[in-house]
Amino acid sequence: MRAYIIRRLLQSLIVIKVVLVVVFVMLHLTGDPADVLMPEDSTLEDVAEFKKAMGFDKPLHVQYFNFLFGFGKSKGVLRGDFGFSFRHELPAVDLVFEHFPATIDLALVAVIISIVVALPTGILSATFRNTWIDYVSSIGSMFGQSMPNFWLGLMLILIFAVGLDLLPTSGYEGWEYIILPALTAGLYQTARIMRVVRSGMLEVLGSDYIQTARSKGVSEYLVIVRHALKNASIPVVTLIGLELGVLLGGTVVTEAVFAWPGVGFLVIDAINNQDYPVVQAAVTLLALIFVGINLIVDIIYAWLDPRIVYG
Amino acid sequence: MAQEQHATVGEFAEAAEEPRGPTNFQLAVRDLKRRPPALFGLIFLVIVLLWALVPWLFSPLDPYDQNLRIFLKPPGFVDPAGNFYLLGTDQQGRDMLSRIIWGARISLIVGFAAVVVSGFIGITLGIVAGYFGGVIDAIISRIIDSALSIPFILLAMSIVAIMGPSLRNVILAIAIRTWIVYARVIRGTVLSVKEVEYITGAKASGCSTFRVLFMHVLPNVLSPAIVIATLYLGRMIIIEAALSFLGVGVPPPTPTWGGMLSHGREYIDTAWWIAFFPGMILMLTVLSVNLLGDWLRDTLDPKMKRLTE
Repeated sequence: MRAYIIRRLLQSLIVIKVVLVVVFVMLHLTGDPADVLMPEDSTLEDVAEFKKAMGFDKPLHVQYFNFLFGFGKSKGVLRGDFGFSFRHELPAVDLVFEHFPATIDLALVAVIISIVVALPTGILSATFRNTWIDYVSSIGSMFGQSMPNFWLGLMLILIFAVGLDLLPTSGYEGWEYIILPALTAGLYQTARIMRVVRSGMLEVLGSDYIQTARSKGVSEYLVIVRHALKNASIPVVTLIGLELGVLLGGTVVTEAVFAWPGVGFLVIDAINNQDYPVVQAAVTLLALIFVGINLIVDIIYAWLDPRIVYG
Repeated sequence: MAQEQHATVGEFAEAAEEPRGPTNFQLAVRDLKRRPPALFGLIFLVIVLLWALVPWLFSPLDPYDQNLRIFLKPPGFVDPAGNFYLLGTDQQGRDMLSRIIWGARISLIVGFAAVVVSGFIGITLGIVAGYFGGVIDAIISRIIDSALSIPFILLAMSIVAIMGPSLRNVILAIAIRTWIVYARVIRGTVLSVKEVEYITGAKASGCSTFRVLFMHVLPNVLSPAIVIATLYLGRMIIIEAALSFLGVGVPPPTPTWGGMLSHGREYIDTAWWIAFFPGMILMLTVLSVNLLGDWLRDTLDPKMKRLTE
């Protein structure tokens, strides 16, 4: 177990290292970061001066070293310094942290909604396999996986804001603001968790010990709740953990639809204004969180189910 | 993630032992007739394909033709010249129906191209990782983990914004992430077939490594690759639309469903049809692709079920 945890830790460090390379290379995709960062009408002198100040006149490997360990006023990303946002004149990392709570709220509520919807429907669907309950929920999950969530967001706005005038459509000023965005953001996850719960339950329900329990005369309710659910829940727990990680970085489109003041909205604004330090900081932090959640989920998994082969 | 990969090895070991006859295709066609959802998917997809290939045959009006005097007219509007606008007009007075029909092009081109590009990268890396193992496998596996941890939409948006919005860059931005799906599954498949007798036999009889990989390993991974391609085609179409929606897709005035939807958000209080119709068609297209994909998976390779869910 300890060897497994150490190996997973090392792997995570390597992953973070690769992510940093990607985030660094991002600005160099066109060959010259000054192209990307400077306004189009800058004079040649301005560009030259800017390059010198940022260290972009140095060879690439030196620039990468400076990116990690600091150059000029910057302390380097390894010490949490992604430079200043050009637009807001604040440290990029601070801006991202400022917008983070809104994204976390959105992702958490979305995951909670999708669990509340998906768990019972998935279980019912498997228990009453090939009945109308199963058909309806399977069709629902098929639509859920095919519907672009930003379109669902637009339709929710049409129905609940424009049509019924019940809920607000943009900003975050109270609990009623989170309902439509959370439904939108959680759509795909709901459909996915539902399918996994259903197939997990079906697999467990077909196993020997369930047959044994049934033949002993255990009531069907107890078979499902006591015996089947416990074993079907392990992959679901893993999936929910991972989906939370995916959602934190995946609410961008939802945030755009509802003008939700989270990290995604911040990044869209930053991209439109060529404010790339903010983009780099956001991508790196979200990747770090994803790697962290993944690590924790894997360790919990190994602890829950000691039979797994540590690979 | 490690556990998933281990599960796949076992599953594919079983899958590889079952002989697959050449009549699968005929069986599949027969089966299709018994599955109305898949048949619906096929028919709808053929229609959208035709829209993409020969839009001028279906489009009643010019999708680029602006007329600010008739902007934001509701479905069923008839202008003084007698032109009929079945789905209404957009914010620049262009015919919604014609723009939806022409918009099928970008969605399908990006979807198919992204599937092919990511498939090429993913199959190659998956085979190399699975076959050679060791350090190469470890390196590719870490690259896969890293690509997984970077938020997809943010990365794609940044790439398009930095490299400039164009068809090519949108395809690259999508493919740069989706190859990992192929790579992971195919790595597992290769691990399970590389010790099978006919492959060790081919090696023993002096086949070059390239020949072994190309002639003996590749055919084994084609059927999971096709299944992944169909199951992910729909998602790629959605991602293209999302990028256009966010303003970093194929630039206007080219009609794209996602681009139309972003105007739908703008005018949602006054013109519901701009937000409704392009999204409806987009959803039906993705649904069709997914229904066909499910059917293809069940007929080609039932063992894929757990992997792709």
